[in-house]
Amino acid sequence: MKPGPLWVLMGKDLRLHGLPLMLVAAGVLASCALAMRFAPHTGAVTGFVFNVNMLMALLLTEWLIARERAARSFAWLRTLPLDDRALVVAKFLLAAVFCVMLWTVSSGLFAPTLWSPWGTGLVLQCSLLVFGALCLGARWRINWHYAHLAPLAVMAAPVLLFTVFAGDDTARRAALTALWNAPYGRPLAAGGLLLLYLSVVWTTVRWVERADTYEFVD
Amino acid sequence: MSNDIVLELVDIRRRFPGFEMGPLSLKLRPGRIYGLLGPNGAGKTTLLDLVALQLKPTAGALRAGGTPLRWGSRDWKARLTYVREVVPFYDELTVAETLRLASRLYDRWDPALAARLADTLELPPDRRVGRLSKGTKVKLGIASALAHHADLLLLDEPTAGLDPTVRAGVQAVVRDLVVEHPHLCVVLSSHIFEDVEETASDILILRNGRFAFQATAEVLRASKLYRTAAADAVGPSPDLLARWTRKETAWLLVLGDSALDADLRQRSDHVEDNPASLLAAVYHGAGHTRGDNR
Repeated sequence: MKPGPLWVLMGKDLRLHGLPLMLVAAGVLASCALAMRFAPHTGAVTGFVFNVNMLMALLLTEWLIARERAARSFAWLRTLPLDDRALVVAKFLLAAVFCVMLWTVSSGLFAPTLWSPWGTGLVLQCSLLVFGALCLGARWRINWHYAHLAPLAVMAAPVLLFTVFAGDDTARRAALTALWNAPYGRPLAAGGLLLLYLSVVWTTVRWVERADTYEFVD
Repeated sequence: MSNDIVLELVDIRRRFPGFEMGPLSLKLRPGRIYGLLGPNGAGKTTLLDLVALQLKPTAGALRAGGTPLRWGSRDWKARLTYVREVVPFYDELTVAETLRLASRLYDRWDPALAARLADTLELPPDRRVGRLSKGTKVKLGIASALAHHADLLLLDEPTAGLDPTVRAGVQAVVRDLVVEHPHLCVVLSSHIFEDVEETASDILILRNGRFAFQATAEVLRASKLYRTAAADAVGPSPDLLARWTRKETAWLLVLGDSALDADLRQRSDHVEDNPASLLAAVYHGAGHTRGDNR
């Protein structure tokens, strides 16, 4: 029996980018180990682990989308009897699997405090997924080398709002902290982020289905 | 349902800022090679993109077997292969891996035929696509087309940038294709007359997004070209294939051995012209027509 197009496309990307992905993931883990060895306190390591995972999401976008755009191989794929949904979902799925694996291993090994309570690690995982999805979606749709800046801006907006409207020792901060610490707080945040992730995938699928091929090749 | 038509274009249009393609109507039949000629920017690639469902038409319809094609139709894409001027296979994959990837995505893939074609077309299975010449990449595209029993092969400038020997090789491959696979229809876009003269059974000349001339190669070969200063002496006629005017001189392309041909042969104000290439003459003239072309 032939494998489904989704698996064929993911297998193709693994064949093309599997080795560099493994090497970079190993480099990420090695740099986290170094950070743990030399960082002045645990908080710095935690921040480093999260940031380096964010950087990987950006890098993944370069491999999975930017190279296909530049080499115009999307144009070849689009002439094959493939559903556009498979084309898009394969990219998002591969990126998600890689993000989840890298985050689980790196944070589990070098920032275990994020998983105690477990909900914090999960929310951060979901936010990384959303960031990765925004990077993929933006790079797919925007014919501009610095398309990654768009998801960075999207992610920065809520952080900025939080800083401005819920500063230290304000009633808003206390209310948000109480919400976060409530039994449903972290699952609610993770669920919201997952919904956001799915909506990014869905809008990208819809856009690709309607777009002319030249819109996603350079 | 008409089995003798692979695809029908019905008043297809595509609008871009500053350029409008169409309306174009055309019937593509199996066993034919359509040579699509036109200068840069005439709309050759746009036409192929429309047929391959890479571009959405602004108006009009594409019909296969009498049924309008749905945008993104997988069934239609399974019936065609589109080999672009810059063949966008994955440079990192080998020839064998590229064919394997295609084989997993086409339902009608014939592995034995793919292996035979790779052998016939001298495709090096272990060489990376990035290290292939353009001619070999085109052959790889052709192999992948035939191995899934495509009904329509679209070739966009397959010989551009190739040396004459390789170009002749690609022309020979295209010619032999239709003989060996009579269900296949080929549309070959080019701006090289020889490509079309050597291979095409049907001539299509595009200018400014419209067909400026359409005829079979046999009709063109059998036609006569007359030159005259009396531009309006001949009215519309089914025997008049094309007419164009340049600098007070009119040219008439007339169906050979037709009543009009016999008539013009008698008239002293019409002189038969014998250009080195009738196709080239029509190609250059068709841009200066007065709308009488068929």
